Amino acid sequence: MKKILKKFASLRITVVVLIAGMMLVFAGTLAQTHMPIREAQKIYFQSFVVPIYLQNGTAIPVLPGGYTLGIIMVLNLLCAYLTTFKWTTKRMGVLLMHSGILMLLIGQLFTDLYSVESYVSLDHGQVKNYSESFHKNELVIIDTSNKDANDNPKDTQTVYSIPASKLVTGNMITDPRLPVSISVKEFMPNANIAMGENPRPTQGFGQRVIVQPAPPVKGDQQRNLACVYVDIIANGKNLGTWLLSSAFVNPDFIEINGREYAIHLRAKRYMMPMTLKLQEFKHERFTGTNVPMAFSSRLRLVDPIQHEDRELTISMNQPLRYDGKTFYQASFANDDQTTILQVVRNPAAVLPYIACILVTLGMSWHFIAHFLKFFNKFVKQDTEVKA
Amino acid sequence: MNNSIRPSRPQSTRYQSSASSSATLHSHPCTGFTSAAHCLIAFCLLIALMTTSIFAQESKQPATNATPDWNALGQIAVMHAGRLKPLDTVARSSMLMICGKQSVKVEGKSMHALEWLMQVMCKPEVADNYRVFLIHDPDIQALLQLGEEDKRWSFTELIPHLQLISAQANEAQSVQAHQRNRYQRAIIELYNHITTYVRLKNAIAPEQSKDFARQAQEAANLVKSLIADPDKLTDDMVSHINILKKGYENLAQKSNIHFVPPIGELEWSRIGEHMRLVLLGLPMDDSVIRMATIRKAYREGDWQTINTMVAEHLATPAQQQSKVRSEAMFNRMALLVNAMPIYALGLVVTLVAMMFKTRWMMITGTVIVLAAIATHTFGLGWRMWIEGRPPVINLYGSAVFIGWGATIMAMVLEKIYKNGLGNIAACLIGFSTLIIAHHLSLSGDTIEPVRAVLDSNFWLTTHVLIVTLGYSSMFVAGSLGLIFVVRDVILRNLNKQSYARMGRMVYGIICFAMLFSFVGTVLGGIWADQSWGRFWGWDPKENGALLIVLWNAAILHARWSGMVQIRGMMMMAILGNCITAFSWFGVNMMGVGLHSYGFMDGAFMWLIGFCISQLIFVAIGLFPVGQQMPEKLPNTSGTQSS
Repeated sequence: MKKILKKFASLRITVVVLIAGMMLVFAGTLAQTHMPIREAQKIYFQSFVVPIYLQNGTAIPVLPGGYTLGIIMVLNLLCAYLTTFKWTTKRMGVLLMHSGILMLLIGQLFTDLYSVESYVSLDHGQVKNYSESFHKNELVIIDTSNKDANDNPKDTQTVYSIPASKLVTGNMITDPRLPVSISVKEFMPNANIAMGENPRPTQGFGQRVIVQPAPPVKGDQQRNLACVYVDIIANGKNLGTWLLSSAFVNPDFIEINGREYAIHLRAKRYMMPMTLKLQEFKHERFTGTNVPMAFSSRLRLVDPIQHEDRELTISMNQPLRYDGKTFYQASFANDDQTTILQVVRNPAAVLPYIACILVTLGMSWHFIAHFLKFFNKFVKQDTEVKA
Repeated sequence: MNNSIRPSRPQSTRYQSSASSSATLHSHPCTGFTSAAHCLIAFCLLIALMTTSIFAQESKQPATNATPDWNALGQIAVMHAGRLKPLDTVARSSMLMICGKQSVKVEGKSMHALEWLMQVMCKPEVADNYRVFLIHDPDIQALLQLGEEDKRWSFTELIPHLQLISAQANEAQSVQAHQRNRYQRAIIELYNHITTYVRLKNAIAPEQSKDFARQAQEAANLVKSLIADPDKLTDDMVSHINILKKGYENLAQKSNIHFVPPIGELEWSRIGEHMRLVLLGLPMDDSVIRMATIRKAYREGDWQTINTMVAEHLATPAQQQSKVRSEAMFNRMALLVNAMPIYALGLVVTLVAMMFKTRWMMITGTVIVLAAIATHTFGLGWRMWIEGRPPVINLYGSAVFIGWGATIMAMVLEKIYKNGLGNIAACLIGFSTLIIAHHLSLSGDTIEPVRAVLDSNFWLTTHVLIVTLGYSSMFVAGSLGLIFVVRDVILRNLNKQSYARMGRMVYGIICFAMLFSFVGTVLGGIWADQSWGRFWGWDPKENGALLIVLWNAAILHARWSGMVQIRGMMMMAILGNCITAFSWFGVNMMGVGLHSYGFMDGAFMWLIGFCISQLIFVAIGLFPVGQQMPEKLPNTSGTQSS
């Protein structure tokens, strides 16, 4: 057993993995000239093998992906520590360094798996208590009988949310908690949309919109306009066909058992315990140029549960950390009237910081100790020659 | 003088070792006295040489009224492209951008940038005939049907093609920046150069105007009298004022040098902008009249008036900008350009010293290299003080700083090993990085305003500087690898001792490269986490830095495992040059990602050429000739047994 472990602890494997890693990073970087970062990241770094596709569509694996290399690297490192490593003070630097690197790798894996990115887009004076997903959609049915809810965040609405992943053509969505059943007739991940008579839906705004299925876009800046045809069934009765799209600004309304429900396909929302209001967005440019000098958002944060009501500023390099999430100044739109904040929830965010400290300490320990030793020896040699 | 037959004197030997800058080529005895004396002589000569060459330009200007006082003119502070700078910088950066040179040949005589700018601003009808527009793209030459006899064309020659250029550039603009091809980038560049030029022509007054000072004064007087007595306003006056207003608006649009200092709440403004406000009742600032008078006097060749006006202008409170004046002097002294020949000289002297094994020459070589580094350091520091930022805020800064860091490291090696190799590495890297910097400066003013995303002095200092030092150490290791190949395989003059010694040098430097690039990269991740919310985004520049880290780790682990010996490590260090160059420039050429602010063009072939040259060296290094000795792991390495 130990023999096998020792084989696995070989430094040769380390070197090979490092060089394979370089090839992967190089390929993954070049790939970004013809595909968006998110796509390249998935193919090269968040994968086990990287294939190339031949003309006829056959995939040939050419490089081990990021996950494979990461796993080999971790195994190699662990085996080395289990077998060949000498546990002396002199080697502590190496140990620190390697544990830091291990932590970085794990941190990156956790970030890949568990971090959630979304954004809050606020117009001047607007108040929001949620952030929205960049790419994910949800179908919501909202019980609007409590109409004040929009104005008063303390009151609650009942929102039934169905993730877009459930919207598969031919699927029937039923749940005892839902007021209705939904039969998915056709789901389009992306579509071209134009105004015009559409005979297929029998209800709602969708009757005036023509949709044409389109291949999904993968760009970082572009968004897919998802569309879905659904039949809504309440009390065993088919109420008709609706066309819903994430491109529609306003929801459709249906009445069931005397209650009014809004039905909407929209970007997935992540609720926050507090509200944010945009007081002012500042965008300064250097005189006579379009180069941004600084941009910042003045916000009012109200958290009724924590009894917080305060103003704050989010600017470049100065995010807000609240509720386990971090809010960054990401962009702006609408002639500087709208601010766009990026919201990141990353439970592993702290790992790279610890890793950084460990590796820096370890490396400095190791290299500086060696350098001093070498320098002393050299100076000694030098003086001996002179004497 | 023959050093080797003199007996050595112990006390002076001690003196010499503490004088520390001297180098020992090989251990034949020599007196400290002679070496110190030579050292001193060499140093004095060099200082004299440098001072004369640098201050030559300073003293060229006699303080008479036979010529305009160019020094004073160059010191005029203006707001341009988001930064307060001397007129001299505007002249140099515009000229470098348009012409690719710091001076233009007019009727056989060389004309410096500031003189050219004055011609453009004051006598545009003459300046239009100067051949300044550098067009080297063959497709554009074909498009405009320009002959091949010259690469530079005058504005007058381009006038018939302006519409075509503008239409083509417009078409090219509709393509996303990183998807444009070479032709499209070149036509947009040419269009921008023409715009820049037209803006310079209208910087003070409308280009056709002969006497703008009088016209502006009349307008101001008219408004003043109308404010005093509004009843005098007639329809004719209204239409006259409207015409003036249109003219000023047009002027403001066509220029981009802000000559008029801040007044009250107003910021620095263009003359056109200011005059438009004058029509609305703002008192006219004297700077308008002064600049317009300078323009008129320049047209008439009245140098005396110019000199008085400039002196008067420089005496106003808004012009009391010590940094701006210092920048004008910094431009004239061109330390970072002047350091180049000193590096070259240092290289030649060191090589000759190594060839003839002459000790005093080696000391002289070291002194010259130190002088070059001193010039480099002074230039870097001065530039930093002017911009009030850490040294690296753009590619230009990175080139200067990488070179600086590398030369310092190489000199530390020289101090330890005293074998001349440090000198050579320092000169090679110092010289080439300054050449690169010079070419980067062709894209305009090198002291740019820092974009909001990067505006954090803390991170610019920690992350950027540490990563850049990582680049520096990679280049030091790589150039030592090159020297190794030349000595071991081509010249075959490496003995056993030097062989092992070079191995230790490169090993040590790679350890530092590893430390700097790793820490720098991780700090970059932390900065990204602080400002964009993600630690690592696989952005090209991040990947470039990661490549360097991985390569260093690969070299070190390969060395520890015995997969490569000294020679193999040297080859890997040379390949490190390619990887570093890719990380430094290659990713910018891709023009994608968050770091693509340093986008640059045309250097791609150079990068490829550089990488090929490094591969050739590796191939030569793989020849089975040279030191064939039983190699052992150096005892400096932290061996992990395998």
